[in-house]
Amino acid sequence: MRKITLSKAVNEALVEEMRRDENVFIMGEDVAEAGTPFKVLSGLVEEFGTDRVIDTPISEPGFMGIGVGAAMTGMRPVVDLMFGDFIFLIMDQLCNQAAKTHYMSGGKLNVPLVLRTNMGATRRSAAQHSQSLHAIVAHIPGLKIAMPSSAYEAKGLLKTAIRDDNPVVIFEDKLMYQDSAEVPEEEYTIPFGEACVKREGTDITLIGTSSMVQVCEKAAEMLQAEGISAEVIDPRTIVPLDEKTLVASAKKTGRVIVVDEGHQSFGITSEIASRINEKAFYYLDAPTTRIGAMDVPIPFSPALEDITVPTPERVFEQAKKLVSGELIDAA
Amino acid sequence: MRHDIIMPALGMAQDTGTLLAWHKSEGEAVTQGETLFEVETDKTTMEVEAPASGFLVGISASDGDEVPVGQVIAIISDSADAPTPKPESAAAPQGSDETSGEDTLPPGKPIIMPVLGMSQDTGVLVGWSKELGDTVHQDDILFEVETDKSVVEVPAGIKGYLVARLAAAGDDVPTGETIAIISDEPSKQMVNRAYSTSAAPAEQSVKPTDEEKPKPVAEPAARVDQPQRKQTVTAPGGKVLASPKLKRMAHQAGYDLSLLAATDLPQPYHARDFEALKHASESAGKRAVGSPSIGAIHTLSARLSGLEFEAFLGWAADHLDSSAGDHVIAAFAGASLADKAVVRVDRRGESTTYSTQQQLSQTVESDDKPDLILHDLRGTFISSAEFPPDRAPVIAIVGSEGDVTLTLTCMDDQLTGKDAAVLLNNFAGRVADPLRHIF
Amino acid sequence: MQYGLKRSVRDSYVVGMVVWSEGLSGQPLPHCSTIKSAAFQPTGPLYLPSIFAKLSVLANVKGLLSHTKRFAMNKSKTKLSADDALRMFRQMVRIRTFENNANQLYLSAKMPGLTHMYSGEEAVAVGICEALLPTDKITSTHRGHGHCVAKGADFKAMFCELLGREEGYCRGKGGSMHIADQSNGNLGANAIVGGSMGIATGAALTAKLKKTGGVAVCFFGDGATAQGLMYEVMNMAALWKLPVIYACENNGYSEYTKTEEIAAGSITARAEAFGIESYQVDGQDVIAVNELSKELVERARKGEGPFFLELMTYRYHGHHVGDINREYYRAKSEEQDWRDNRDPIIRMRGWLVKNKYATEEALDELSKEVTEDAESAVAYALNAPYPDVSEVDMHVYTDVEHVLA
Ligand SMILES: Cc1ncc(C[n+]2csc(CCOP(=O)(O)OP(=O)(O)O)c2C)c(N)n1
Ligand SMILES: [Mg+2]
Repeated sequence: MRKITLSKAVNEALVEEMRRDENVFIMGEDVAEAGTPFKVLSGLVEEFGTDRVIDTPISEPGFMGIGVGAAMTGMRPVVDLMFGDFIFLIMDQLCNQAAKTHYMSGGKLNVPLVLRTNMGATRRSAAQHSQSLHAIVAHIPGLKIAMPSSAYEAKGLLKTAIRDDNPVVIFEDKLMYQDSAEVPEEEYTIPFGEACVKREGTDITLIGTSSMVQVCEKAAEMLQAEGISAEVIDPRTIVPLDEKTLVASAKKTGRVIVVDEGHQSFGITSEIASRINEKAFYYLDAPTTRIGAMDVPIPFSPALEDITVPTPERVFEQAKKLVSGELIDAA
Repeated sequence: MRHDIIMPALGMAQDTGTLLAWHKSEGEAVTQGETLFEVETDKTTMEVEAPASGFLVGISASDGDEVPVGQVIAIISDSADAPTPKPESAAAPQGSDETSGEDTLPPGKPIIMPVLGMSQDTGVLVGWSKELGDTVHQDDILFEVETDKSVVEVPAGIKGYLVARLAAAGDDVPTGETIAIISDEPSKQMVNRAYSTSAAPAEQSVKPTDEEKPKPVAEPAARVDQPQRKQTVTAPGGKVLASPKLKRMAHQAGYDLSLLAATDLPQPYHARDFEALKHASESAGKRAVGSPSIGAIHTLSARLSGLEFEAFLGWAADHLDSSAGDHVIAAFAGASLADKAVVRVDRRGESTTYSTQQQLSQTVESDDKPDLILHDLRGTFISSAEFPPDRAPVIAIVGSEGDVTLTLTCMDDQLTGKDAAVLLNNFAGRVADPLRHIF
Repeated sequence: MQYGLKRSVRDSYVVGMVVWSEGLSGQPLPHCSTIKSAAFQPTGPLYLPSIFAKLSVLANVKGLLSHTKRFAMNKSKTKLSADDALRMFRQMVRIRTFENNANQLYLSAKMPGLTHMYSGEEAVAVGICEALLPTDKITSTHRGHGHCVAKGADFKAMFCELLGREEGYCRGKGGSMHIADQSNGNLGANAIVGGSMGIATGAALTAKLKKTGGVAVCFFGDGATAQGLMYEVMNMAALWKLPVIYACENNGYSEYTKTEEIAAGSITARAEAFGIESYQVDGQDVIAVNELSKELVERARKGEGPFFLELMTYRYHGHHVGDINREYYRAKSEEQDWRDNRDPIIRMRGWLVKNKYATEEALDELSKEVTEDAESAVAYALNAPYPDVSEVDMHVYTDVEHVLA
């Protein structure tokens, strides 16, 4: 099968959906001629023109709000937020307006809007351009959250997001834009709420989101060399969450590590771990543990930044501890 | 003035650039600002200008090459024919600046940091007793380790030449890590260094001379200052630490987890400790037979041949038109307890309760509370079982290789030790000789 | 070159108005060429009457002119001392030299992350910061090296920060986009466009409440005027008469987009709507910027603030160091034009020599010193240690040494 980059996959998804549905349009900073700083949208303005690929001023709350209004009145905007960190600027429009409109209107109004943004550290971008903030919006009922782990997921999930009648936030990992994966030529979509078992195993389950799927896969390789069989699961969307697949795997292996690039405390890892605890408790042979980004702002210095994010080595060490039955913090 | 021409970092997350074409050739004069070469990155191509005027020399990358950013690919020098110094590569790109990896280790058998305490995951090397290059014998003390507040002298365990010491006095080394290598022959290529995780040799890099896997050194010499601690992790209040999974398994099998606490196994317990739990339960059961009542619980076991019983059940199935097994067993057990009794039989996850009388034919199903509970495990792989006391005395029935083992557990207030013995003995007698029950 | 202190300063304001007027009349704003053609009008009347007449009509129609004060230098009370003039020159050279080195560090992959060059805009930071005391506060932007140097920072600690080293201003934790130098009143660069507007205004509130006589300057780009926060804080600053100066560095672009595509109407008029006195200044003329700043800073100290400045300037490099192929949004000839004809350092240099403040040789010597200073700071920083990894969980809270310990 042909291989394309994640960046190209996103571009293709947008082109296909914009050709399919004339109500779909893109709005954000430097999305047109510049095609975003990551060059993800290159070529779109040439095909669809500046009415459907709209450059905005640096007014995040403003264009997010305009997106919400357009979505409520018949358009299907794909709002481009240059960095996930800027989500803090648009919180009201996203969480008080977009997320709640359908509910508050008793099901009469819809906000079919996609917010495309990114996440991830280790670009040496320091504390205001390196955050992974998906947990913060996942907390708000009414929003769906997708986290593609490769070009294949990026395309399939984005197409589903655009067709969804709810506000959907997609977090792409900035460091993965140039990573290639097999993506079919034929059209496809990936349903929300269906996890993907990336690798089967029997001794321990590694649940990873976004780029952490790769981290888990690498850790699984390392574990295999030690005779430990790890199962790797990518939930693909964290809202809705495919609890069934995750719990079934937890029951099978009896041990689970959840890996995510958001801060470890109060994050996605905690949510998934506690659901497994609730639903698979009597099958667990070890505590379900979390590995997230260190609970500190992401530092600039490479010497510090590298130790704040989960690595295959850390997952590997933790998995070995769990499998060997070491007591995880008796205190 | 010499100017290094480097592969520039141009894209957002770019590690390499592809050199598309040089616009100047080796030795050619260039002026500042002139295009030197074209690079392709992230789907864009761009021209790179000369940062200074001079002569282009020492070109080390050619058209089409993919070059890491930051690498020197040519030099602008003051003269065309200056002896071109080999462009030293620029500072390594971020992140990769550690000096390259491991020193090669001499071949031989690895000596690892031994596990000496129960929950010990590292040991502090107190000091070496042998010098690099020394010959060592199996029983020679090789090093001293401090663990759990005791200092242990560790003998070499194998003989040969000490060719590598991979930890220094004071190093805290994870157990299982290789800290020395002993080889059959003296080696010129000896290594002496402090412990470092990154350079800890993987098995293959040590190249054991034979197929032997790295083995912990022999048991530490007798001179251990303190006895090994049996258990270091216990929960407060005597609670047993075990995984939910093992607890569930124990519960289903009717085992008492506290029995594990008396073993040498470290807590917390996991599913893998189930076998040990089973053994512990069995032996606890055996100890109980004939011993004076311990506290309030009696556990007694009887073992007998099951051949007659099997034959009888076969006959009963044909002649008595009953759900044979359960019905007969309930009747036998009930009759052993009293003239009339209610007996529950648990078999393969199903429970049936019978009200029994001396006459087999008067034994019928019932909804009453049982006076006696039977766990019939015949026909399963289980070869020994003992259940914790329940609301009524419990008898586990296990069959294996033609024998039947009956294990009775009860509280003293359900049956005194003497009555328990009578019950089990009667029941065992009936099972061993079923005809005695009928006639 | 037609460039004399008093005249040029006056001219520069006229120039500003020219740009402003054309923007106002709704024509595409030919940012650089207009300035260039108008900038060096030989000495002449204080205001170009014809243009001005047209302009006032226009502006009056729109009701915008009321608070836009044209800065007139005919009363230029203070003559610049040689020391002051040379210090401003040196500071501009220091910024340019710093940026050249930073650019090289980035391109040679020795500097992590990415960074935004201030080259071309030196007169703005220097002209304003030279009017401030070390105790006055500034807030800076993603394009912040210039502000940091101008406010008195030291090369070594700056390069160390850019390279993520322990001896950096922020112990390597902030990097290029977050340098703060609190010893000189720099409250920090900011990677969020417009993110520092509240901070600067808050610093001014402190100065007012504590009666320190201090002033705060908020640097931000033309692009940042699109942030709603600006309007909220300007409103409060005006209501409460806070000693804050909003300094909008209009370099004609916000990332890869021309200013006129992202900013409707006049920029100074935004502040005027709140009754804030506003000026448009030639940001390539350090003396003009400095004269005006000195006056406004003094007035702000007396409680006459806030003020708003729109400084017309230009960035020579791409939006960030990696923005190399940029002809799709900006012509090379335009860049060349600014570099050749409106460079703030070349202009100042000509003026210094012409007015006998210094000889060519002395200025060369000065530049050489600065270059050596920068090179030794770079060499020092390249060899300086990274922070110990144990620092990673320090400084999260003021009262917890290691938050994860
Ligand atoms: C809130 C926010 N939105 C977007 C960005 C991305 N971004 C960084 S710089 C920039 C352009 C800023 O333009 P301007 O304010 O004119 O400053 P200049 O770069 O021209 O100095 C943008 C959009 C950001 N850092 N913060
Ligand atoms: Mg700008």
